[in-house]
Amino acid sequence: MKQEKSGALDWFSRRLNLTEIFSLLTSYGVFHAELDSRKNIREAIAEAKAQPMPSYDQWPRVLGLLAVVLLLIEIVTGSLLAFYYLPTPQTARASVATILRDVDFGRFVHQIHFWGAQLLIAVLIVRVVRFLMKGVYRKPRELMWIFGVLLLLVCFHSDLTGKALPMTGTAYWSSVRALELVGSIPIYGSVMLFLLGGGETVITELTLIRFYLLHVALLPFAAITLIYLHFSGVRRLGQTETGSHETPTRGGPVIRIHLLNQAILFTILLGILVSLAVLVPFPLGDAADPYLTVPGVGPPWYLLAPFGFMELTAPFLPTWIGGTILFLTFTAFVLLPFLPGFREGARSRGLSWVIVAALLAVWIFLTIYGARVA
Amino acid sequence: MRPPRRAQLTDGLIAGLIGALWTLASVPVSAQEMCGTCHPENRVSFEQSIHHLENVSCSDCHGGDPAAREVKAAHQRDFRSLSDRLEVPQMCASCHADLDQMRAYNLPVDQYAVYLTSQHGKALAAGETRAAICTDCHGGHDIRRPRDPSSSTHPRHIPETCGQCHGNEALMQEFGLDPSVVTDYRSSIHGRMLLEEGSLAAPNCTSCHGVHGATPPGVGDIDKVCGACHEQTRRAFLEGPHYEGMTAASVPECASCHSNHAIQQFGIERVESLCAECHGEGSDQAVLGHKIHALIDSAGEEVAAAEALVHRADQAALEVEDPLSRVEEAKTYLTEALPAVHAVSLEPVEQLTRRAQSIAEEVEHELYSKLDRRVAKIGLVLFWFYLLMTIAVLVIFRRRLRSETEAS
Amino acid sequence: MAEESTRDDLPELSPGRRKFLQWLTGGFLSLWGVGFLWVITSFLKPPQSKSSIAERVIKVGPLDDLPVGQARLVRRGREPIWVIRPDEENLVALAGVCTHMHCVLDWDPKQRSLDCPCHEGAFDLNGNVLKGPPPQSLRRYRVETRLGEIHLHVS
Repeated sequence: MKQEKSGALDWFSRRLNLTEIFSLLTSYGVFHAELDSRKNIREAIAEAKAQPMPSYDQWPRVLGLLAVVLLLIEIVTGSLLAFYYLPTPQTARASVATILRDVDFGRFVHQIHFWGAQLLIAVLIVRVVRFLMKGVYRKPRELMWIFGVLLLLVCFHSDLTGKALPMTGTAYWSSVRALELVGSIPIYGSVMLFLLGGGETVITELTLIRFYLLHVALLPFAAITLIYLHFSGVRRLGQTETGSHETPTRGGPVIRIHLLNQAILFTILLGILVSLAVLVPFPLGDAADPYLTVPGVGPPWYLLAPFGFMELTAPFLPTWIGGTILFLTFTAFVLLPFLPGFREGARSRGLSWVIVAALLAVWIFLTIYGARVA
Repeated sequence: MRPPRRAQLTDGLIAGLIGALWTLASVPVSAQEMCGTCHPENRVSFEQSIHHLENVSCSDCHGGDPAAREVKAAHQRDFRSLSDRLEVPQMCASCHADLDQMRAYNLPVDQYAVYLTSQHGKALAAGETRAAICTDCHGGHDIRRPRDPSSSTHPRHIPETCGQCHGNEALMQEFGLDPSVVTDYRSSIHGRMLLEEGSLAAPNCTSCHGVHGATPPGVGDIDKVCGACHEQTRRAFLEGPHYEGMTAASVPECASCHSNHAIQQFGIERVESLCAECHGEGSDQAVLGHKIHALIDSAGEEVAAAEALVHRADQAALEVEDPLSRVEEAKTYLTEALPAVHAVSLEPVEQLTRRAQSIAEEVEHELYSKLDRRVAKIGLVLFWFYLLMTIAVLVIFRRRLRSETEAS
Repeated sequence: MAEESTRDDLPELSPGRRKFLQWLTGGFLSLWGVGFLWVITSFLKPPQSKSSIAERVIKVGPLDDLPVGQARLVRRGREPIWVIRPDEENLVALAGVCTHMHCVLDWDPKQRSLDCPCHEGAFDLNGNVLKGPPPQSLRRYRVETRLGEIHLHVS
């Protein structure tokens, strides 16, 4: 049997650079060894097996892989949903209702898609906080940080565009609020509104199809690219924050342990997702009416903090100043590794939990304020 | 010198022509033409009327010579000014009670006879000149069909027309009549429907009091008047003890609870305290009132809860057409329950409320089980069972491999 | 060997039993794959549209608007349907697509047949094939007149 299998592998490896393809596939967190694509596939794999496997005894390291798995689940469930969703304002909610009511397992797939998205964002936020606390932005890991933050941003945008697609009342008005918030940021806001359908904060046919395109094609592509780049960096730099590879333990069956670890993780995640999908379903709501505002609807929860900030400063700051402050804060956050004081010195080892707690407290305060004002 | 013969002829012709034209000019197109010379306002308002349209002339009512252009000549012969109110009804009846004349217009001919039986007619016959006569309600010269929206006898204008006298406090007090009937009516549900919403389905004064035979309905007849529209209520009322009792005690039936002119829309809350108002707090009747109220109230709550649940299910994208139509059915039963209350007995009300309640409970049960998703939850338990077994298997494998690699 | 005794909970297995256990575990775990495939294929099956009565019965129009010997093509629903009035009292409703290559048929009042413009196929008033390549007869639909209106049942 092994002879036939190797026969097949050799047949392909004579025609394609399997090592390159294999390393592309494993760029999504399966294992972190760099493969020399000039080598034959068998040699490359043997070499990879001999490398140390990432260990998950420090549990926060699993966050990256979790994010990848969740993204994969989102892509699968999202593609399934796309078989039935019709992206025009007139047919959107009806098509979603068809999925929920008439399609077998439609409600199940839809709920998993929703909860998977929430878990993904939660995981990414925890991951970014962890980076902040462990100083995983210190040289030479600046790009790790930037990719991490950008990935979080891409997922925020994915959630935002995806939420608007069912065109129900709360979804519609939540998106309008978010668009208004984005539009209040000078330059960046105008560019975004322009891209999203002509600078208006009303969701028309054109806007909806742009949301759809972003959600279904452009943002997932961006996310996949970011993840690829990120793991490419991990392979170059190693997994730990100390900057050196882990002390090698052994090769051989260790990869199987590694794969088993991932299988167990995936199973637990699936359990959590399915439980949420069945026990905490979120309702669909009535169709959106652009002429009737649903009271008490604010932007999505992760945008409540900037929204709260704008509301708080509205009495004494003009909108464009508030928007600029938001923009500058965000840019500083993205370019954190390059800020003075973060490159070397005490802060390069990570922010103390006191500071992180303070930042989180400000964020939570603004979120609650934003929720109350919405 | 005598004019030449040809000139005589021309003169004669011209004179003749002028004379002919004069004669022609002096013959009026219709009899009204001349009366209007001295009475222009009357002529103008008469031209708007239905009588003018049907070629009734001034002299048909007033007599005299319509062609005359001077007072004495016009007001001669059988001229009647009709300023004496006692004359007017008979005058109108001279045409309107004549079947041969009215047949062409398909108008009834009993108005005068009926009028004589009315309070107004009787008072007039007794010499009371302030009693209403034909022209008081229909107008004198500007009479229009009741169908005409600008007519004073159009349903929407009737309260105003009757109110000319019946809304005059001093006048009504003199006669010992209720001066507030018009204001009461305007504040009532009937008045608001007619005057504010413009609904012609609402009753006006004549709907209950009659038109030419205007008389307040007597005790024992009031329920017939109200029951002309509120049929279900009347049927239920006749079955109950109130009808006989109230008639025997000479107490007005509907008006005792609902008042006669200031009728308001009663909701179910009124039922709770209404019985005690006559029968006293704590009486058997008051207790019955509480029970009836409780029946309808609880059924109403149940139906409202079912409706809210249907809305929730609709939001969760469940199929709601069937439950929705059943909720409508239940609401219909509840709407029928209020008239049924007038039978002042538990049974007819209970029949309706029980049906409404059972429908509501059925709908709730069905939707709860769908919203609850019991099947999905059982599936979830099984799923977790399978999941935990899988994790156990994987963990065992892992331990196996670990110890294998430790061994090597 | 000494190390083998440190394996705490795993009993020694004969090769046969080991293979059996492996096979059993493999089967157990592959149920995940089966479940996954089952969910996805059920999901992808297009749903039966739970249509209301309004979509199951189509009002084609007044009977008087359809002269004797003429036919009308009803364009609502999944596929076109020909409603034919062969004589004063009767109505016939047949599927309007050819069973050969699904071209839409034409009604020929002289021949009283449904002709296919693509490959010279033809069907009679019962939907049976008169000539040409069509392999199957046409589906018949129930049609009736109620209060002077033609009702076509498309369920």
